[in-house]
Amino acid sequence: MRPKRRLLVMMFMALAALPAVRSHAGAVEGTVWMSRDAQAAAARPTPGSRQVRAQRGVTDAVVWIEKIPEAAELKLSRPGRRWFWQRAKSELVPTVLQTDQKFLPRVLAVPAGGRIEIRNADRVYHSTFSVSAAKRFDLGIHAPGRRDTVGFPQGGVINLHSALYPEMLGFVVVTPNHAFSRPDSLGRFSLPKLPPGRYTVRAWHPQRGELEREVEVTRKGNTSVSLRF
Amino acid sequence: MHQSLRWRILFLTALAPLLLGAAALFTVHRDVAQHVDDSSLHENLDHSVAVFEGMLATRSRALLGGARVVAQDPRFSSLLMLGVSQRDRRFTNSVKVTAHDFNAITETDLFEVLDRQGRVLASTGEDHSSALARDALVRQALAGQVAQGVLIEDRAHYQVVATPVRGDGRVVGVLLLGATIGPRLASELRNQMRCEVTFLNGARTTGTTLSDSVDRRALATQLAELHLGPNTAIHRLGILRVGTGSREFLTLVRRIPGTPRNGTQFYVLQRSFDPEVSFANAMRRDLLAIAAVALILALVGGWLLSSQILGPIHRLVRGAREMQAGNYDHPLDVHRRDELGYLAKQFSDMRQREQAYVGSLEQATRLKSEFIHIASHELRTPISVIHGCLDLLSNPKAGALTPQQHKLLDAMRDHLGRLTRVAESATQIAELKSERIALDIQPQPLGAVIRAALGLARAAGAGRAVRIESELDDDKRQIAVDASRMSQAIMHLVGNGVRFTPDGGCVRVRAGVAGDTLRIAVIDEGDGIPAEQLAALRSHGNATQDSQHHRSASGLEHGSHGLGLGLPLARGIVEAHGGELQIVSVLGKGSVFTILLPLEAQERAAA
Repeated sequence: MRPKRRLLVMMFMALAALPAVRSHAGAVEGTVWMSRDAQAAAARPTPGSRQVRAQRGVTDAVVWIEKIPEAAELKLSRPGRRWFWQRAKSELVPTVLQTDQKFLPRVLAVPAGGRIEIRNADRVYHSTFSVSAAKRFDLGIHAPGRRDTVGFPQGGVINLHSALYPEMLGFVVVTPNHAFSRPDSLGRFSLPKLPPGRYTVRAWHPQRGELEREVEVTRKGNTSVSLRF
Repeated sequence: MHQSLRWRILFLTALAPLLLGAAALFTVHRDVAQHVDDSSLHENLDHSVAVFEGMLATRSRALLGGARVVAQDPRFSSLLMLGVSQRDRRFTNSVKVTAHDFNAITETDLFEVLDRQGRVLASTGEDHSSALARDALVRQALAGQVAQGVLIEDRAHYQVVATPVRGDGRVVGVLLLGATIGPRLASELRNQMRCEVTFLNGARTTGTTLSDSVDRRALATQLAELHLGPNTAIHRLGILRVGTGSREFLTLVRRIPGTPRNGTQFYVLQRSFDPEVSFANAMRRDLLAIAAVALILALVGGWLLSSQILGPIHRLVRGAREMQAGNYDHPLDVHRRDELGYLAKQFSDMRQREQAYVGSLEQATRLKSEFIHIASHELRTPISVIHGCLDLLSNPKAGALTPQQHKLLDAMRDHLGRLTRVAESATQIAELKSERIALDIQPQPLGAVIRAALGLARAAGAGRAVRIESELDDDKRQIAVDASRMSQAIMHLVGNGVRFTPDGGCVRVRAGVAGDTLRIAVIDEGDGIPAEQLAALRSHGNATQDSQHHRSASGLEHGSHGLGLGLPLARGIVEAHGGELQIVSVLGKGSVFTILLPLEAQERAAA
């Protein structure tokens, strides 16, 4: 009986520990402000569409945490795969469409090591290339309907250009980890929950560039941060 | 033979090319002179200014076009769009390689890529601009405007275009393209406009096509005198003349377009007179060569033409001379079908007719002489019979005659004597005419011959109160003549003189040697001979049939009705001696008959 009891105790303790891990984590939330005006508009009693107008283009921004603990990263990289009996979800590869001589979406965020698919959904030929330090590639001229998958092993911002259409421009923001978020049209974003500690929040916008903030994640409650370009 | 016809033909054929050549030379000279006239060169310079500024504008457009194409090319702009974090260590090199590739297309002297802070990322042209010079242009471009202008460096000017490079709606960098305004542009302009071009930055020459240092120095001196500076009113300078004696240039100074109005960047256009002058010289030389060739051809043609014409004419002339000398059969050798051939044929026919006519005349003359000879000879026999009968009748043995009969017999004897002389004269003339006379030429003293003649004449002129005098230079001089016949000739001339000289007059015989000619002149004091008779006398020597001028017919034995055979007889004798009879007469004063005998012939005969 003794070994049985010992095993039961250990299982119990492990089950008790699980909620404990989940419980002492806080999320980083906040808003990306495109301008002082946007901040002012939000402060008004009824922000509504006024704020949306003032925040135009904010959805192109990407917000991520500079560095997170490996355990947290491991956890975030396998969302939902908690138990061995649960089937792993098929990996969804984010796609950049080329349509109407534009990259859609204009800004795509992927964690380092991730892949994206570049699909020519247009009726014309395209030729995508990048000269950014994080990833240099040239897909050459590709016909309508063709799909290419490009992997991004290291973080950084990659400019997507078309050798055929100078005005075509897209961005792939490769974040160092899975703790990244995209703001909504009001500029609000919410990063995954992280263990307590000091973190660096970075935000990047194609026109406005990059900025960073230090945040303190506490054991209880969410941390709010305001990022203004 | 006269040659004037040939020269006339040559002159006329050569005249046309000579005149044409002269006219062409004159025309070319005038046209070139008009072209060289200042105004046209001024226009030319103005035109060169327009061409130069047009070239600059074209280059500027080309630069702008090139810059736009490059700036819009994604492969170029994508590099500039990289933020600092997106660049790696290869970035600068990539920019350089890309810039180099694009510069190979634009082929501009300046090709500089600047980032959004105005820092040079790559400069791949042959030249590089200085930060100070390009600053204003780059700032303008970074502000989003295309900046065009002239970049002024110490030693060069550049036409530049600074184009903003845009990415995602922002200016991400600047592309600076520039073309040198220097020697290459100058030589290009010179090739187009035949114009010397010099670029100046203040007093410094940044490019010139003047190859001769003398010309460069002359230009520098002239420009130094002008004191070109920021405030120089360039357009008031007008067109200058810069020259070094041998070469002179029309010179125009202007500011380089695109430089500030108060700048000191100038270009100088110079137009020399040399091309026009050398063109005129070349034309003149060619025309002279052509004219010379044309002249030679014309002269050769004229010579051939004149030979064609003159050859037959010369042969005809020779034929005519031969005909004159009595040769009617000289070959003419003109076998042509043209006018000259016709003329030769006519001449030949005429010559034959002439020959026939002259032959018939000679025949007639011979017959006449024969007739006279025979007749006169035949007269002698009855004359001598009558003579004998008269002698018999006057002989007292034949019977006494009454004084009346004696008188009649004397008259008969007189007339018989005259008849005898006429017959003798006629015989002699006939002999002379038929050249059957035989001269008995012996050396004789001149005086003896003259005296014999005067004796005969005095005898003939007995009864006339006319003196006969003689003046001899050299009495003893030996002359080779048939003495009796020469005496007879002189006697006839003296008798003639006596006959025409009124009583109380004088007939002189003057003989002497003048040069190589023996002259025997018979001078009378008669009334002279009228002109028409003189001409007749000179031509054929016939005696005048008119004796009305005889003042006294009784002095001559046959009264006033002479047959006048004396003069032709005298002429015949003189000519038989190889001499000549000259007759000079002044109406109312008298006549001179001169026998001229060549002494050479005399001496030859004497030898």
